[in-house]
Amino acid sequence: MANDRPKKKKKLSADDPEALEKIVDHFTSRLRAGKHPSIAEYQEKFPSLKDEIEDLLASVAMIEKLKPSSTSPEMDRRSLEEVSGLKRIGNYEVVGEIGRGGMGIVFEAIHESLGRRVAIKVMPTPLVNRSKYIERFQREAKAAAKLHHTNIVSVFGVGEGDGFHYYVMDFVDGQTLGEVIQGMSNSSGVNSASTQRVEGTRLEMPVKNDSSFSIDEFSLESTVRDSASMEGARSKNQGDLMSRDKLDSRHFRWAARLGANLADALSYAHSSRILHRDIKPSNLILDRKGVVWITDFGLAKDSSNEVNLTKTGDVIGTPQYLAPESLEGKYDRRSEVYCLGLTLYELATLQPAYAGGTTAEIIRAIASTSPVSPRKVNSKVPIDLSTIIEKSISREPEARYATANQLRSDLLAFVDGRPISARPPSAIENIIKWSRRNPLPAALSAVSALLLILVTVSASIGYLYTVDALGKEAQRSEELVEEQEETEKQRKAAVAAAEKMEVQYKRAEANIEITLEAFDEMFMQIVSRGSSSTDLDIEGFEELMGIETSVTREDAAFLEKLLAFYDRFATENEDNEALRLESAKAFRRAANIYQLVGQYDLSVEAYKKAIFLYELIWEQSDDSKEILISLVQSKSELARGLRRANANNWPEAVRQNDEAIQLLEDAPLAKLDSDLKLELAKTYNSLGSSKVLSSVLETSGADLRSRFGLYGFGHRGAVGRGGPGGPGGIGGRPPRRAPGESKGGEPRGGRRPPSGLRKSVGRIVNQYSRESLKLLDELVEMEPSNSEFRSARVNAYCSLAATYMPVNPEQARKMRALAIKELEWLNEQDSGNPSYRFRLAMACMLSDFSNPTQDELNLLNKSLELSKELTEKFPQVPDYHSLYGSVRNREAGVLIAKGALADALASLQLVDQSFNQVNELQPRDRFGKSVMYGALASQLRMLAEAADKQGEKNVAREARSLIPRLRQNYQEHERERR
Amino acid sequence: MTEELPQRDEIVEALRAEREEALAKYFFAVQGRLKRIVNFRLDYRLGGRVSESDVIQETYVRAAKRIDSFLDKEDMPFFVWLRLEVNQKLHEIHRHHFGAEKRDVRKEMKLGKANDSGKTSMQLAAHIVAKLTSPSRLIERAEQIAILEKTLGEMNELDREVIALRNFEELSNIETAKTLGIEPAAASKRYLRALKRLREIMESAKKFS
Repeated sequence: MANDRPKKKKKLSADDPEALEKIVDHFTSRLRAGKHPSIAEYQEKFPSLKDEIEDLLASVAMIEKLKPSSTSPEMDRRSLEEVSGLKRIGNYEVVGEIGRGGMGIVFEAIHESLGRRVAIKVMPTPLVNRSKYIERFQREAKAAAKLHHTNIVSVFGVGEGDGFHYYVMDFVDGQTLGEVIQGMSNSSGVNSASTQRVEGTRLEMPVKNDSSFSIDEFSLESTVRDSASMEGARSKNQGDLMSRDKLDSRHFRWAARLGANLADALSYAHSSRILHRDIKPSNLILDRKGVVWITDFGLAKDSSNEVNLTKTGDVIGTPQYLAPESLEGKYDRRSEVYCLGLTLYELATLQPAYAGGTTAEIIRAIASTSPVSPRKVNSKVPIDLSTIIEKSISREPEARYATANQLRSDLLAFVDGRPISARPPSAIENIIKWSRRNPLPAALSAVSALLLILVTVSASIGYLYTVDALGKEAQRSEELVEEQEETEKQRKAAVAAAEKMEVQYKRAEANIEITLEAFDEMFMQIVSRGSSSTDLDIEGFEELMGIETSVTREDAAFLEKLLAFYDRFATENEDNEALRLESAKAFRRAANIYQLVGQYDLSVEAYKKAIFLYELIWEQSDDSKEILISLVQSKSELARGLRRANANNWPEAVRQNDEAIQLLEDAPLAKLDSDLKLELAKTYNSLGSSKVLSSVLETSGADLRSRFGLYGFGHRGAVGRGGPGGPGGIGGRPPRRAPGESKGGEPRGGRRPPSGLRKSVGRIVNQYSRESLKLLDELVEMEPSNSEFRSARVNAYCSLAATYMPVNPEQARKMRALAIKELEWLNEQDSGNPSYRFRLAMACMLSDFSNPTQDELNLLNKSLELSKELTEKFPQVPDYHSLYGSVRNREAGVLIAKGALADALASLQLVDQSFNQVNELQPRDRFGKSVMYGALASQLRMLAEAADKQGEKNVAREARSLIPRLRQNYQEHERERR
Repeated sequence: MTEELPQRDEIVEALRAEREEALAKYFFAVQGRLKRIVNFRLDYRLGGRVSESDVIQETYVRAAKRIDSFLDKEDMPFFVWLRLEVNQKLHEIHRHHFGAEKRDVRKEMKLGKANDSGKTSMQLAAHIVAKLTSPSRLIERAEQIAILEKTLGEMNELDREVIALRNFEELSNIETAKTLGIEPAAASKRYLRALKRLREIMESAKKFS
C-alpha cells in the first residue's frame, strides 16, 4: 500500500523506468474524469517514447471508451430532467408528455397561433461536438421531411433551444403496435410474462441506477397517455380485435394487411434512399381509424460515432429487433425487411420472436439462433403467412425478400388467397445453408458420419439391453424400484442424447462440436453411472487401497463403439490444424476408454498422442488455462495408465507427474486460480502413487506380481501376509515368511517388506500428500462448501493415513478420522451419489487390522455394511462386489487371528462369491483381478494352515479346495495379460 | 486509488478494536469500487435475478465473519482482501444459480474440456454488450466490440486478466500486483505488454478488414 500514497509532484522523465506506467495512469485517470486528453500531447512531452505512447494510449482509449462509463448517467439524467420541465418549445405550447425514449422525450404540443396539434421529440444536445451534431441532425431531419406517405408520420420542422434540440411531427392519435399487441395478448390469454418485455422496449425509459425498471414509471407513463385523449381508442377501433379471445383468420389477414402497408411505406422510403434504422412495434402507431404509421423516420438514431449523446443511461430494454447482420455492423434495406418480419411475427403470434433474458442473452440468441416458426408458437397461424414471416426473418440477408416491395406483394397475395412466392426451405436447402455456415464439418468424412449414426443406434440398443436386464432384477426386488427409476432416467437421457444427435445429423445441424459433445455426454453418462469407478478423481487412492475399478460388460461394449469413433476421428484429423484440439480431445477420450476397459498399453499410446497434440496447442495457446488443465490431466491419466500397463513404465509415470507439476507451477496464475491449484493438489497425490511404485522397482527390481505384496499398508496388509508376492503364492512360489510368525495374530510385521523400504516409500508419498493437503486446505478455507475441493481432500487424507500407518499410527488414525468425517459430510450433501459411500467404505478399511482396536473393528463392520448395501442396490456394478469381497477378506483375516476359523471360512466363501460376480460382470482381465485372486488365495492358505494347527480338518479341506481354481484363474489372467 | 482508505496498520488496529464497526466504516468507503467489480464479474446470465447491492450486502456479511482472515494475512492490502471476498461471494452465487450446470462443468473439467477459451474475454464482451444502450449504438460499436472480443480472445489469460483488473475493475497497479500475486514491476510490465499486444492485434485486424 505504501506505493499508493500520494507522491510528491516530481517532474516525470522519460528515463524513469516507470515512465510509461505513469503516463498510462495519468491518461487513464483523465479519461475517467470525463476529460479528453490527446495522445499527441503526451508524445510531445516525451518524444523518445513516441511510438510506445501511441500504442499504449490508443489501447487504453479504446477500452475506456467502449466500457460503459459509471459517471455519466447522472449527468444525462439531469439533462433529460431539465428537458422534461419544458413548457414551451419554439412556437409550441407543451400540453403533456407522450412518452420517453432513450434519446429524449416526446411531448404533445399545440402551435400557438395555428392551433395545430403536434408531437415534438426533444433531445438534450450533447456538449461535445455540438455544432457538428446539430448539423447532422438537421440534415437528417430535412431528408426525413421529404418523405410523404400515408403511412409515415411527417416531420415538418426542426429546431434547437438552450441545451436541447427537437423535431416537430404530426400528432397521431393512437397506440403503438407494441401496446396493441400487448393488449391482445392479455385478452387472448397468451402468457403475458413474455410480452411484458415488449412494454419495456416501448418505453425506452431512462435507466435507474440499478438498471431496473420501476412499475411506477410504467403506470405513470400510461396514465399520461390515457389522459392525452387515448380514451376510446381501445374500445372503438381496435376493440373488436383486442377483445377477441382467439385469433382467427381475420386476425391474420388484418396483420398481413398492416404488414403490407408498412412494407409499402418502407419501400417508398428506400426508394428515396432513406433507411428507418429502428423498425419495431413501439415505433409503429395504429391510429383511431386503424391506419398504421411509421414514426421516427431516419432520425436521431445516434449513428454518429464519436458523439455520445447520452453515454449511458438510455436503455432500450432489449435489442430484440436487431437484425443479425447488425451485430457485424452491416445494415441495409434487407435488414429493415427483417425488422418488419419480426414485427409481423409478433403480430401473428402475439409474442416477440426473441424474448426473455438480458440484453447480452438476447444478442447471443440473435447471433446464433433462429426463432421458432410462428406456426409452432400458434398452430393457427396460416402456413403461407408463417412462410412469409420466416422468409423475412431468415438469418442470412440473401435468403430474405430482396426488397420491402416483394414482401408487400407476398403479404397481399396471402390476404387475397393467391399463391405466395416464398416456399418453406427444403431439406436440401437447409443442408446447403448449414454447410455454408459451418465449413468445418466437411472435415468429418462421410465414413465418420456413417459411423456416427451407427453408434447412435447401437447406443440406444445397448442401453435398452442394460435396462432390460436391470428391469428383471427390479421385478425380483421392490427395493430396487428407486434405483431402477434412476437408471431409467439415465437411459432416457442417453437415448435422448442419441436421438438429439440423430435428429441433428439428419437436419444436418450437427457440427463437429455438437457431435463431440453428444459423444462426451454419452461417455460421461456411463462414467458417472452409479459406480465410483470411473471417477478418475480418486487418483492414486484406489491403488493404495488395491481396489480396481471398472465398467460393466454392456458399458464396455458400448464404450468400444465410442472408441472406434474417437480413434477414427482423431487419427483422421491428427494433421488437421483446425481440428487439432478436437483430435487431442478424441485421443484422450479414446485413451480414457482403453483404460476403462483395461487395455493399458493402448491407452498409454493414445494418451501420448493426445499429449503431443495438447503440447503443440499449449505452446501456441499463450497460457490458456483450459488447455493447460487438459494437458496436465492427460499427463496424470497417462501416469496412471503407465502404472498399470507394465512395471517398466513406473519411472516414466513419475516423470509424467513431475512434468505435470512443473507445468502447473510455472503457470502464471497457479497459486491464485482455484482450478489450477486443485489440479496441482491432485497431481501431487498422483505423483505420490507413481513414486511408490517406482521406488519399489528401484529397490527390489520387483516384477509385476510382487508389487502387490510390497504395499505395507492399506488393505494390502491382508495380501501382504502372503509375503512380498502374495499372488506369487499361488504362482507356486512358497511365501517368504519370518520364522514362527504364522501362529495367530502376532507379529505380522515381518511378513511385510523390509521396514526401511516401507518407511522410505511411505515418507515420499507422505511428503507429496502433505503438499497436496496444504493446497487443498487453502482451497477449502476459501470455499468451505465446495464439495469438489473437499472430495479431493479426502484423497490426501487417505494417502496420508495409509502412509503414516507403519510409522506413526496415531497420526494415521487422525487422518483416517478426518477422511471419514469429510466423506460423511460429502455423503450428506449428495446422498444420491453412491461414490461417497463407496469411498467411505474404503476409508473405513484404512488399517492393517493386525491388532485391531474396538474402534477399528467397528469401522470394519461399517465398511461391511456399506459395501453390502451397495452391492444390493447396484448389483450391476462390479466395483461394489469387488469392494465387498475385499472387506470380507479382511474380516476373514481378523477372524483367523481370533481363531474363529469356521466363521473365517464362511467369510472367505462370500469373498469367493463376490469375486466370481466381479468376474462375470467384468468384460476382460483387469489389473485388479490378479490382486483379487491373490488376496483370496493367500487368505485361504493362511486359514488352512491355522486350521491344520487347530485340527479343524474340515475347514482346512474346504479352504484348500478353493485354491486350485483360483490359481487357475490367476494364471489364465496373467497369460491373457501378456 | 485507495486514498479513501487509511494505511493497513491503522485498519488492522481499528478492526482489532472495534471489529465489525470498523469494518462497516471502511467497507462503506470502498463500496462504490466493489460495486464496479460486482458489476463486471457478475455473470451476465444472471441478468436481473441478482442485484449488485445484494452481492455487496452478502459480501459484507461474509467479510464480517472473516475479519480474522484479513488480520492473519499480513501484507494483504485491505481492498485487495475485500475484492477477494467479493469474488468468493460471486463464486458462491454463480454456483448456486448454475448449480446443475456447474456439476456438468465439473464433470467435464475432470476429463478436461478445452473449448471455452477466454472466460474473461466472454465476460468482457458480455459486460460491454449488456450495458450498452440503444440498438443503434450497439450497431455502431458492434464492430469495435467484435474486434475487442477477438483481440482479447487471442491474448493469454493473464494479459486478459490484467486488462480486466486495470481497466474494468479499475484497480491500481499495486492492487493488481497483489491480486495476481506478482511484483508490482512485473504487473506493470504485464499490463503495458498487454496494451501493446492489444494494439498490435487491433491494427492487424484493421488491415484485414
